Amino acid sequence: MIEKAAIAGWTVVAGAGTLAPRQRIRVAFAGEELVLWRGASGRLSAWANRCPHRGMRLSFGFVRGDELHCLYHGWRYGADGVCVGIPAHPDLVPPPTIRARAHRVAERDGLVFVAADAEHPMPLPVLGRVSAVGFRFARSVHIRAPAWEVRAALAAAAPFDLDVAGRHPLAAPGEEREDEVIVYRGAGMAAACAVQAVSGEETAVHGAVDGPQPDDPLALAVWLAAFRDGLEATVPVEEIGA
Amino acid sequence: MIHRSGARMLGPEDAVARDEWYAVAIDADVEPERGYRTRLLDVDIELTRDGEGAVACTAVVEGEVHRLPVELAHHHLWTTLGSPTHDVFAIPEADDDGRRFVSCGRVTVRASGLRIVENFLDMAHFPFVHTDILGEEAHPEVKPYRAEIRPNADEVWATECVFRQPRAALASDGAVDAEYQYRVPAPYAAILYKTSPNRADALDLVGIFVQPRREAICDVFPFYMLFDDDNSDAAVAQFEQMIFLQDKSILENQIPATLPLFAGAEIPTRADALSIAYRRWLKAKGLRYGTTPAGAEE
Repeated sequence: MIEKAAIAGWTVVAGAGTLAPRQRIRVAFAGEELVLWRGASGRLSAWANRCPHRGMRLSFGFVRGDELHCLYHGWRYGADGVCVGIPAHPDLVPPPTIRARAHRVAERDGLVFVAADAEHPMPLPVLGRVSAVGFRFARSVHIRAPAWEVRAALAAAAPFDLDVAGRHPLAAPGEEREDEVIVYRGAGMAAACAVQAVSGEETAVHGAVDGPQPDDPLALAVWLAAFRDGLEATVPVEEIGA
Repeated sequence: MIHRSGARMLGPEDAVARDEWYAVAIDADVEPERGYRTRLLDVDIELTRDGEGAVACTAVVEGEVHRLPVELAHHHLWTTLGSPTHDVFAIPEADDDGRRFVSCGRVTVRASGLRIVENFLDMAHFPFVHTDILGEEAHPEVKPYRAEIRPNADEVWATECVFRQPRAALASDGAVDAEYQYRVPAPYAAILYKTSPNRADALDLVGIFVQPRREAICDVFPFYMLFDDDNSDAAVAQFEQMIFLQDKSILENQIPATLPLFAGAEIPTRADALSIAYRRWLKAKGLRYGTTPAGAEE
């Protein structure tokens, strides 16, 4: 039995630059899926990816202004998840009990952090910027390997010859999750790799970089793709076929 | 789960699901001397037509061959894994003078057949899923209608339905206030009666027969029984397939893929009166196949 932790830990689910205003995507979170969407005014929201009406994935919906509308019946939800309109009944004020399940979401250091809708989230990790620009998102890679293996490989293989400067577990006390952010640092430069355990066999790594060159994020993106390919190549061929 | 105790107990433990008739093929698709393999309620079955045209249906489970009954009804072949106490439902309007039957083929949908039927019974999605065809965003309102379970016939009906439609049928000239009636003659079938663009005094029928291959994978047979002397079968089928593929993109993205029947799982409104009656009817029957068990929701 899993008891809900009194304090909610964080999970990095995407890069902060991934979503422009009026865009929405589907992301994995704690064995479920979320719709991550940004309103016209820039506010980011992370909700359970189902409309309370008939279970339709809200990630197929459309953003109008600062509302997300379900594709199936056009039900309209405000930024806090509360249903504000049901087109089939134009004169009805929806009861406040109709709401999408909203989680806490924070953007920091080029990454999107989500915490389950508990009362007290843990403090966000302080990654420590080295330049005035700060961390910029590079890319996400999905790796067919368990999170423990990805974490061990990331700790051993530093990008750009940087050194591991810090490891920030994201699970709250009592939570059994492998999610963490590994920070690397060198002269005038830092990189962060956020490990997200998507399932027992799949792990996402979201990378951000803080460096002087405009193409530093591109360089980290290339490094992450090679890191993924290298790790997947170590899986024996007979297991791939199984 | 395959359950078998005695010679004729095939398929899931849900006797209610076993004791229904299901369309498992378009009659014309089963050719003489060629096996037609498909699946019903997790059980592999095969239809064969002999030289005289008679069709047999068999299931092979754990090496044992079981012969299943076959009925020809509404241009489809029907079978069952259990012992239905009723015949395949009738569609009396099918024999009307001048009415044409058009098969719209077979479409595989990765969703519970009950979700598929419920979607078919729904008017509120027209403006958003069938935009500028069966509805438009400027007129999304669902006016009150009557929904009821008819205990004597053991069917669910909706009557007095009206919806503003830009292009209600292939033969439509322009927007109309289309009048609808819905009939659910069996858990995995639905028929819609709507204003015929060609005959003011008659109703066209549009329907679906759903074949549950697994709890959340179905083959759907959409069909028309309509008054239309101008458009070819292919054109009518293409119109229906355009509509149905729009629904498929919804149906394969509902969570969960099965239909929850327990209170509080999903929130309906007045526009869902028919969906509410349908779910209540399924629950009263005790049907479990294709439903979400309580506690299994997201």
